[in-house]
Amino acid sequence: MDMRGGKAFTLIEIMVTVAIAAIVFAIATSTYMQFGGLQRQVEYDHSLTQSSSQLDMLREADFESLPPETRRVEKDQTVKLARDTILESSIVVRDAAGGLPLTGWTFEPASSKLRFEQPPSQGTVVVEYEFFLGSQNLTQFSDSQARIKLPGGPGFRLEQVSLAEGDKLETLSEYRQQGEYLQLPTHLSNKLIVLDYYDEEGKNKVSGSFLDANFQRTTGVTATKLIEVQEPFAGGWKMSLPLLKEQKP
Amino acid sequence: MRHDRKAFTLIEVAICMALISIIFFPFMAMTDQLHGAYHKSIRKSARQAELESVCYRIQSQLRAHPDYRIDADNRGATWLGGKVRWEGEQITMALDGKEVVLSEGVTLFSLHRRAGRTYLNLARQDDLFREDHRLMMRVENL
Repeated sequence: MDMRGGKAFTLIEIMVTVAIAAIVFAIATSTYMQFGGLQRQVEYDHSLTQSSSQLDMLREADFESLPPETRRVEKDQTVKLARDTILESSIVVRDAAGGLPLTGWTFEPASSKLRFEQPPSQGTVVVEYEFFLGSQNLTQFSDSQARIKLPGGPGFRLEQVSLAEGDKLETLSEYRQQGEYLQLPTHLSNKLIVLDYYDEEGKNKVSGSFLDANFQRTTGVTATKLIEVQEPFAGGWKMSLPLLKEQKP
Repeated sequence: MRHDRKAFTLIEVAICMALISIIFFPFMAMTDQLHGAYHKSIRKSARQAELESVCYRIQSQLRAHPDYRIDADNRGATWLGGKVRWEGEQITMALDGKEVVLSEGVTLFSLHRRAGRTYLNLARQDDLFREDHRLMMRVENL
């Protein structure tokens, strides 16, 4: 094909075309980003609403039951931690003075116990860790066969099942989890069931650290803890909500 | 008017169209995604706002009448001169004999008391939220 006879595009024509294409793409990209932001905002608002109940739970919790925990090592060289949904990789054990991390221990997730190979020189240790916070007060009405459909996926774990009748709330012990359903005794059909559960997909992670008199993080033991709840939203985004806990005299 | 320029050949036009479609295909896909995201956000915001408004109306009545009683089936509450009930996917509130529908298409409404607090669960799911398995709203500490 002989193109030499044809007139080529001039520089100005190419520049105008490139400029128009750039403007169109810039508008499209900016609008896309804007709506991505809008979606995140909606998710953020929702997560914030949910987090208020998580903070309530932590406000009511004992000072000692939140990380970092200061615990005495038992005679069998173990330390029982208050939480049972601890993220094992986050555990750091220090001596009571808050010195360098100690080694020579293993964690037993089933019992939430730390087991020491050798007893630490001081009888007390400080254990820093992160744990998953459960969700409370999810309600569902049981169907005519006294079943409810559980909301969670593989990471879902029931913590407590309660029956609500008017003002009363009674903890249930007789129930059976069958796949995605929870089977209750047959007389509990069409009743309001309250679920407390952990969902690792939800990953409401809680961490804590001691604060000194200047509200700076410290590894030493003080009477103030900064507790942070991390809640994911809109895919990979995370919000962090702080809570100050004071040790009661 | 005399044309001394050679016209584009079929192959040139075809290549040109192919290039334009290659360039515009991701652009169109992005526009489509954008359109979906926009409508999802709008619907989510609208649902959220609607549920919040329903919750606040119920909340304000319960706060104004602290002697309210949660119904035995936990699908409503009753106080002096008023009540709120969830039946047939409708939440209705009766105040001084007048009944108003607060919301329709509600798939869950429940009230229960725990440790001195009343918890109100409210869900309004549609196809969009069913795929998310999301409870829409939870108001506590009444």
